[in-house]
Amino acid sequence: MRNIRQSPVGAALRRAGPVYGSIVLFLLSTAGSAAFRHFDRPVSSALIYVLGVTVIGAIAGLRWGLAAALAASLIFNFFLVDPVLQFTANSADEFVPLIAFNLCAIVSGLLAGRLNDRARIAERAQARLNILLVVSDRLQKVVLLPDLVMAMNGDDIRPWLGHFELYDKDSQPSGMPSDGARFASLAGTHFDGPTARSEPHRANLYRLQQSSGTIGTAIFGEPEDRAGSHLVDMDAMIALLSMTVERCLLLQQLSQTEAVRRSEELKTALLSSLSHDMRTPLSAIAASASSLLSLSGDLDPAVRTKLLQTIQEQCERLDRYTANLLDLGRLQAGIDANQLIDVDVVETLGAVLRSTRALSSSHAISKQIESPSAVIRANPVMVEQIFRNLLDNAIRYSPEGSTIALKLSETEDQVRVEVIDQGCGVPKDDLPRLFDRFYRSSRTSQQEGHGLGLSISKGFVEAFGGAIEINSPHAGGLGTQVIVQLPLSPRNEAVIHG
Amino acid sequence: MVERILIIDDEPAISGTLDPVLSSQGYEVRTEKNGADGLAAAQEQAFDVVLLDLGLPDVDGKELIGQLRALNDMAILILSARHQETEKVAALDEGADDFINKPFGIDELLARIRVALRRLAGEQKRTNEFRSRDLVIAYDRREVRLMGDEIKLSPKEFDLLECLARKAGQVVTHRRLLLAGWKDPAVDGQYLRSYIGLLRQKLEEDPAEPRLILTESGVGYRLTTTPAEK
Repeated sequence: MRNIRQSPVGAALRRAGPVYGSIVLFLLSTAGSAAFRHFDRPVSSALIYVLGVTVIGAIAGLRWGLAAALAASLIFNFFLVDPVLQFTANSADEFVPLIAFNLCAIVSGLLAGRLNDRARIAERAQARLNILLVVSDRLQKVVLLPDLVMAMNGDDIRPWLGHFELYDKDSQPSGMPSDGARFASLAGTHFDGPTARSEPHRANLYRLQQSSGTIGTAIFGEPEDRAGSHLVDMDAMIALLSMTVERCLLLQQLSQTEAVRRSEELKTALLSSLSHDMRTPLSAIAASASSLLSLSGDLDPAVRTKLLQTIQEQCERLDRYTANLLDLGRLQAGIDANQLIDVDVVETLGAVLRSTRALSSSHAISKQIESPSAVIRANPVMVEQIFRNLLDNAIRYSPEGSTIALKLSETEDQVRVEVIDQGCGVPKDDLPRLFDRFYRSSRTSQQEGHGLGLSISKGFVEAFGGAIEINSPHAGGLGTQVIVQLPLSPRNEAVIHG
Repeated sequence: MVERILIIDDEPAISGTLDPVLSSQGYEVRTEKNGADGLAAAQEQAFDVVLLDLGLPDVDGKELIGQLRALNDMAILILSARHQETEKVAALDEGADDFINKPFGIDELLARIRVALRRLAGEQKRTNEFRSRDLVIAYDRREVRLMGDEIKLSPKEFDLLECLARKAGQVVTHRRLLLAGWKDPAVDGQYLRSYIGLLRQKLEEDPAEPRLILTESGVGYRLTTTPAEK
């Protein structure tokens, strides 16, 4: 980044330099000319003056060159050409230097002036361009309006443009400068034309426009560097700002549309899941209950018991399903990190194991717990839910009588829990989609279940800073291994004081 | 004496089912649909057990607990959803005796009611002994026996076990246990977890899968009561 700022003293020197230089040069050439005259070298004397005037014209421009030429011709005529101390224009010796000096000064001055002007224009253009470049460089990375306001109030832009505030088309602030809003009262000001000035606030208002119409108002305060601020090309600046604001607005719209689309997708999936997973157990319950009610006399006791068992089982299934829906809602709402407390995974697993064994005696569960306690930062009920879901899945998708292995081990800063079943495993193509909500593997789609358990477990694990992975087939082409890793709480050590 | 149960739940399907079932078990049952009527019923006649739904239409169930408690000795059992652990803790700290998650099986509910009634009777008798199938605790001698063998406990371990045993079969909140062990509910929960771990190591067959001191996630602990064989 080129430094586009300069100290005021330096600028004054640069402005004054040619003038003083010209005076010095003029005095030097006068002295030189007088010296040569003294030694009776009239041609050299005149040439020195010509040289001096030409150089002055070149460095200080046409005006100073002409002034020098005029002064030189007068001095030359008056002091250095006979008759001394008298203006005469009688001979060619007296005419020619007068004309020559002035012509030289005019020619060199014009040439130099043109060059100088070009250079100055180029310099100004460069400075304007530089400010625009800085601004566009900063704005390029901006995707959110508050970031835009921050960037425009940055140290590399603000001195040139002044305190910046941005208001949307409803006069609401889009972001806030770090030193607060000063022009909030101006935000609703109506003005015709692209820009307006507020004297009491010493601020300039600019309307930001795009093809769609007005998209906001930019307000600039007084810049610190008022001299430098003249270098700013406000038209280009406002065009740049308008483009950036529009881009931010479009991106915002896009992400909203995306969110709506995803929530629509979720709703659709939810509805189709409801129609299947809610209605199936309800149908079974309705059929059993109505049979018991209408046919109770004709049913033998074994059938009656079977029907009653069906009702109870299907109720449990509905309960699991609604619990999952509730968990899904909790995940959607977001889990507040401030609400997390210390939870002992070993203790939680104990509780899960006890209730899982009580509900299902069809599978053996072997456990291998290699740590007396493993404390993480989490929500205790959600941690229970994670492992309950994993064990439920293992039981549901592996043959009766098979063994499910549960292992817990600790690394330096993680606790690792594995649930390994001896079921049919998961087809390779289904693995990547297993964690999708409502997804059920093609192999299991005929079975009970609703594909919510895994995605909820994953959501909870990730909310607690952990990771979950599935390996299937696990060993010998059989079974599924689910690995959950959760970061240990920094205070995971036993604290016992008498 | 016939024990009286008051059900305060705005859901007719729940009270409509519980009323006949509990009546068939020999209890005298009354059902009310909201907090105001429930309180009025309890003022009119003394109940032994109140089954209270926390999501009542007219009042916050927690406020009702204090008002019911002021009337007479009774057991208050909270009917709540599984997820509402903070609600449960608040209700228990407010004076409720236990909670049961909806949906529940009737066996579970009957067991909780029996525990609550037994405890109500026990409190009146000021027992100084706890006795279950495997565990015997003599409070006055500070002596613990597990299947006949004496178990040495540190003073703090004993205090915690006594606190659990005096409410055996019912949940005891973390807060109450911290008060019992440290006289300060603000003490770091890590201490409590460690001491429960120590107790389990001394009392449980498999400390990693406890059967005596159960964890109620986010709420507290519960000492199981398998009644002593007579």
